[in-house]
Order: sequence, then C-alpha cells, then structure tokens
Amino acid sequence: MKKNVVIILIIVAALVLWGVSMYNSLVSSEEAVSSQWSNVENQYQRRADLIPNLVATVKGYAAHERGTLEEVVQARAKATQITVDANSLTPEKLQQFQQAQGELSAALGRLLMIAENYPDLKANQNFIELQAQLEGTENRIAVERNRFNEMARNYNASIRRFPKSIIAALFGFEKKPYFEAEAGTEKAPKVEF
Amino acid sequence: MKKLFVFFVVTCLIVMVSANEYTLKTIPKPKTLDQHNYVSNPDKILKDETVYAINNILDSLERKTGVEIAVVVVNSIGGEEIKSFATQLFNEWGVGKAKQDNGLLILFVLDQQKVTFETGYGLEGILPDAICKRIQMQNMIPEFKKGNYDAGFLAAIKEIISIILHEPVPEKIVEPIHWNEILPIALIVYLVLISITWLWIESSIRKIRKNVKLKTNIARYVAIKNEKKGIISLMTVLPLIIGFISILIFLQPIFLLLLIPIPLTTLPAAIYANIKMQKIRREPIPCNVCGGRMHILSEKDDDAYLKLSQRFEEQLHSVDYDVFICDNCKNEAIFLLDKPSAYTQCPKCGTKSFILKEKKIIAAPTYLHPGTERITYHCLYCGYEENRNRRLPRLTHSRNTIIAGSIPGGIFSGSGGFGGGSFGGGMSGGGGATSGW
Repeated sequence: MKKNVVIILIIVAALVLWGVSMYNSLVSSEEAVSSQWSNVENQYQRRADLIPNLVATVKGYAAHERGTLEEVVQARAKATQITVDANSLTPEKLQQFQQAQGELSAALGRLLMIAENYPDLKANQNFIELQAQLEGTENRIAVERNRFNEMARNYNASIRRFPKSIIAALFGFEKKPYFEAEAGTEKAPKVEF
Repeated sequence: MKKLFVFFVVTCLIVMVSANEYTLKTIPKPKTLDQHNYVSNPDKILKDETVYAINNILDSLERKTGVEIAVVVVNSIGGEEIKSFATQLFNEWGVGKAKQDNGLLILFVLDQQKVTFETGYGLEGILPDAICKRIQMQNMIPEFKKGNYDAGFLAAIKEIISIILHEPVPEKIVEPIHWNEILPIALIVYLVLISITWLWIESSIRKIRKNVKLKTNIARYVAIKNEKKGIISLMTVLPLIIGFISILIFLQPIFLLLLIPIPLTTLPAAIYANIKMQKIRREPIPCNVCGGRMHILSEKDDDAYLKLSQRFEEQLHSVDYDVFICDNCKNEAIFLLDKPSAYTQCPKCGTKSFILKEKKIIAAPTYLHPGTERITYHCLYCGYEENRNRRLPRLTHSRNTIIAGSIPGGIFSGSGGFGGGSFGGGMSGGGGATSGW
C-alpha cells in the first residue's frame, strides 16, 4: 500500500518536472523570437536614423528634386510611427509594419536613382559613406529578418509538435507570423557606383 | 566510343570550370591546418610573401586583442551576391570569439571585381560601414584598379589594424548568474537525491531482513554494510559524473560549485543505515535450547564469556565477538565478526593476531644476480615466529624517468597550438561594406 503511494508520487513528480521543463523551453524559444524581433526593429530604426542626414546631403546638391525628397521624409515619418510590440505580433500588424517600411524602401530607392544624375553628389565623400551605411543597414535588415523568420519557424514548429503542443495549448502559446517577401517594395534599393 | 570521349572531355571541362567557382563549403577554411593561418588564397591571387606578412600581422593582432580577421581571396563564387555570401561564410566559420563577436571577414572576388568586409556584431562599433567603405575606397580600390592586389591588401590591413589597436575592443559582457533561480532547483535536486538514496537503502534493508539465507544477526549486519557501501558510492559517483558532464555541456563551469554538496546527500541515508545495522545486530534472537529469547551482552559484560585469546583479538580490533545469553536457561551463544585488519590467523594458536614484524634484505639484488629478502611474521598472542624468503628481481637499466616525463607532456600538448584549429565562433549580422572597381 505504502509502496504504491510512493510510486504514484514519483510518477506525478516526474510528470510535473517534465511539464515544467517543456513549458520553460517554450518560454525561452518564444523569448528568442521576441528578442530577434527587436533586432529586426533596431535595424529598421537604424535605417530611419540615417535618412535625415542623407536627405540633407542630397538637398545640398539637388534642391529642386523636392517631390522625391519629401516623399522620403513622409515615408520615414510613417514608418517610424508603426512599431510593433513583440508580444502582440500578429500577422496583420506585421503586414502593416512591412507595408510602411516597404514604402520607405521604395522612396529611398527613387532618391538614390535621382542621385545618379548628379556627378558632384556622387563624388561627395559624405554621400558615399552615407550610402555605404545605408547599404550595410539594408544588409543587416535582410540578415535579421531571415533570422527572425527562421526562429519564428522553429518556434511555430515546436508549439505544433506533440507533446509540446499540449503544453502550448494549455498555456496559450500562439503562432508567430513571418516576414514575407513582397514584390518590388521590399527589395533593397540598388546602390550602384 | 567517340561519344564517350566527348562526354569525358565535357565532364572534365565542367569540373575544371566549377573547381574555380567556390561555394560556402568548398572555400578552404584557414586555421584548419594551421592555427596561425588567417588567409584563404586557393587561387594564388596573392603572393606567398604577402600571405606570410598578413598572417604575421593578424596573428599578433589576435594575441593582443582577440580580434580574428579572416581574409578570403578567390577567383569566383559563381553568381552569388558577394555581400550575402560573405555574411553566410562569416557565420559558417564563426569568425571572431563567441559572444564577443569580434571578427572581420574580408572577401575578395576577382571575377566580380568586388571586395567586401563583413564585420561581426562586436566590431560594428569600431569599424562602422562608413569606415569600411573609406578603407576600401582609399587603400584598396586604387591599387586593385592597377592590378596590385598585394599592395591593396597590405595597405588596407595595416589601416584596419591601426583603427582596431587605437580603440579598445569592448570587453565581454558577463551575464549575471541568477543564483536565486538556480539554488531552489539545486535544492530540489539535492532533496530528490537524498530521498532516492534513503528509499533505496530502506528497501534493501527490508529485503535483507526477509532473506532466510542470512541466518545470524551478524550475517545480516554484514550484508547491510556491503549493500550500503555499494549504494552510497553509486549515489555519490553517478550524480557527480552526470552533473559534471551536463554542467560542462549546458552551463558555465562556475556551476560546478553546485556539485560540492552532492556527496553530502548520501549522508542521511548512511547514518540511517548505520543505526539500523547496529539495531539489527543487537536484536534478541530465539534460544535454540529452550525456545526463549536471547539478549546480547554489552562489550564489557561479554568478556566473562570469552576466552583469553578472543579478548585479545577484541583488543586488537581484529575480530569482534557478540555474546548472547538466554533469559530463561542461561544458554550462551557467541557470534564472531571478522574485521578488516592487517592481522591474519596464527598458524599455531589460531588467534587472529599474526602480523608482519620486519623485512630484511639478506642479499641485495645486483645487475647480475637476484637478491633475497627475509620477511618475518609473528603472533602477538603466542609469540610464534615465521620467516619467509622472497626473491628480489635483478636490477635493470630502466628508462622509467624519461617515460614518466613524456606522458604528461604529451597529454597537455594535445590541446595546444600544434595541429588544426578553428575560429572562435563569432557572429555577424551583415555589417560591413562592399566596393567594386
């Protein structure tokens, strides 16, 4: 009799321990997705921070391209307004975020196209370095976005895979959305020299 | 036949062409053959002396600051985009120290006429993209345009080194250890270990009690003692080994401190087993004459029932005697417990008090003749003495000292600088700049 109780207690304890470790691993993989999301946002922010400087530099050489310059400034303003909290990351919000950033990318692309027409601007050391920074930032965005997608995919797979799916359903772990490649808008502006 | 020949030639051509187009996996990784090699120059675009000079500079940089710089100079990577290829290669190799991410990859692709820098996360602050670009535009591109690849590389690397040495590389951020989270878990583990050991010993004591083959108290006592020894050494060694391995794999070495209390977790069970053992040994037994109960006498009282030689053995602690006396008929029973000691049984009087007295070399061994040693045993009780002769082997000209010295040397050199190595496992996120010419 006493022996049975002990055995049952041990089994229950083992089950609880197992559940706790499953739960913890889910929490840490969700946390990894969240911190990766902030890496993505940081890179977008870095790009936004570069833009005023870039616009000012271009303005010095091509002041009459006001339309394109304003477009960039507006797109930047719009894009920086939309920030998404990692914990409330839904497909719709990600879509919005991506849309706004995509518009900014497109506007930037046009600005850099215009710059091609101004040899003085192209030869400006400040402009060259800004362009290099912009290009580096676009690369970083691409890398961090890929890593985010990879992590979100791992996390999504783990909450759907048995037996973790039980724990995930029990504690309300939700699926994370992915970045999707959008036609045209999300292409990094091509920087040619 | 002709077709086959054409096929063969075409295959050869494809192999030759594709041999020059490197992929992530086929680019030879520096450091694999030689820890002090930082340059991958499979197409011999750079001169040997340039590679040698770069290796020297980068080796001293790594020793001073820990920064790892890999230089890759190839003819072609096919149609791959140079920057994303560099990012992937950087992370595939793990250039830079892990966590510090202080690596830099310089990738040069001749057929694209491009060179790119990939900076690890930890170097982005010191080598921002604008600086990378400036180095490329000022030091590399003008030389590359003239075809002076060696001069371009040397100038750029000198520039990079001067920037890195000028600024302190950010120290590794040490993550604080959350002891308040870890200690409760460790405590639970200790408690689990304590209870497992306890339950195990408890169940084996119960089994021994029920075992009909063990007839006397002493036999049960000895059985529990042996069982206890086994369980406790297993429950000490096993958690230590498992803990040691898993801490080294999953956690930082500082957590090895958590292993210190593990030997203590068997203590309660050991004390419990000792109490039980003593109790079982002193338990009353049925009298084989009248069927009454027999009780054990205390160590002091039992001397009256023992022979002189037996009392002598108890004094030497070579044998322990338990004397039981029946309450009704005064029937007596003596049980003996052989204790582990240096004494053996005397061949003459049978008392367990026979011991080595002295060793004496009668004839010393030489390089030509074996020697003889006389070993004298005597009985402390009856005084009987016995001599045994032992042959000592001939001396040999051994090289023991040299062997003893070389073994530890060999073990320690294994992890040292000889042979292959790798980069430290750094990460990058697409930082750096690219330039063409």
